[in-house]
Amino acid sequence: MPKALKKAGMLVAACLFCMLVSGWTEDLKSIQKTMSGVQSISADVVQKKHLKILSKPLSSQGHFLYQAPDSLRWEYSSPIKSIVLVHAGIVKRYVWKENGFIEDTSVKLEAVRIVMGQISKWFQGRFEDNTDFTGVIKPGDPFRIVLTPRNDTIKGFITEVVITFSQTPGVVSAIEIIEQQGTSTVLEFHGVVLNHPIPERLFENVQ
Amino acid sequence: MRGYLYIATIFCGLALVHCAHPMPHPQDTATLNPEATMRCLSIYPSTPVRAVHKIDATLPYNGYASFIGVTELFPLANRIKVVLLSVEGVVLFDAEFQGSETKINIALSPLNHEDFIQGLLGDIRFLFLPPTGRVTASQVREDGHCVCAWSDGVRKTEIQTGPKAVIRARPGPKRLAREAVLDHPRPDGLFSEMSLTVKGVGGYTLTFELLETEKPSD
Repeated sequence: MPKALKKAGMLVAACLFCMLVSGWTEDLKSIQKTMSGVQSISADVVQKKHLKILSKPLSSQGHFLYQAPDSLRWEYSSPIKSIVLVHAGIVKRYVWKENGFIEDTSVKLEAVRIVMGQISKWFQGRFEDNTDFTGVIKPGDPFRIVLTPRNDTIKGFITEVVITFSQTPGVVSAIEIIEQQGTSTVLEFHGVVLNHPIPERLFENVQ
Repeated sequence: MRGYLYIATIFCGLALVHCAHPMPHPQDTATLNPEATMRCLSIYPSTPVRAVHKIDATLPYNGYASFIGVTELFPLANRIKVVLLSVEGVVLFDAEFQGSETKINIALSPLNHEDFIQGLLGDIRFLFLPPTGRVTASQVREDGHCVCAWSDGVRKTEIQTGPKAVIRARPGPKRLAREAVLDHPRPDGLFSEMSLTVKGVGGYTLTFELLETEKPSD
């Protein structure tokens, strides 16, 4: 292939990518439209909890499954082996105890329910019609959306949420939840697989 | 309301205990042995330390909950900071205690309930700070381990050293309010495993597994 043609091809590809990327990040509606194309996500998660009291963050590892519209399975392998299931509007947590998983009743705490419920909304790109958060686009590389709580209940424990997107349009690469007292939680998603079929039973029970 | 009380019960403490072999009651008339007293007090950290625990709570009505607890101890200053997090990292409770003063930084409902705060404070003091009041008994047993007792006029606290240290709080001669078993002692004054059983209506058991430690800077 002649050099000039190769260069032209690369330029066209770059332009197409820029158009694609700039198009989907134009406004919250475009973002939601793009993200609606993501029907399922499977990813490894690293959670880093920054606390003022600790010199280094507390690190947790696990695996994350999402199925549109609002099903989540969040499986922590360390330091506490546990599984959070969000399905059909119900949030459940199971913790490993000796020989098997048992249900953890503390997931009924309002703050935990709110966070888990919000995460599935964020993965759907529901920033414009989100009654709990106001979303503002922060252009740049990486592209981000900053969410600030609307209601006092959430303001009581979350100051701001920063959602960072990967180079693949519509795919979240990290979520930072900024709380009070110098505290924040960073969730990093690695090895993301999109739109791979996930059996519904994985969102219904721990097995 | 019942659900609220149930969840509040979940959080009515932070401490460690674990039932082991029975502990003989030191007699108030027993001779005080300073060496035994020192050995009983050696189960508590003597220098500042910060600990991260996995906390499992076994609750009434077959309830069960897991948390992450961060505790910062300044024994000489009688100061403790405590942060309770959900497994997902949501800060549920953040407070500092020094002497009789309590400063609550974060307390999400229902952990802002006064009963919870007092229960937590009581559990933490029970586990990490030496008893208040005067020593009423301290002796070295035939097996070489020590038993000691303190009384503040209202409550009696007993300590037994051994392969597993045991702490018991008694509000009356025959009554047991709290019992802690501390296992696998470490050089920094902490124990790798602890369990605390709080007796009575709405009683619960908390087990603590030490995940990591740090030395506080101040």
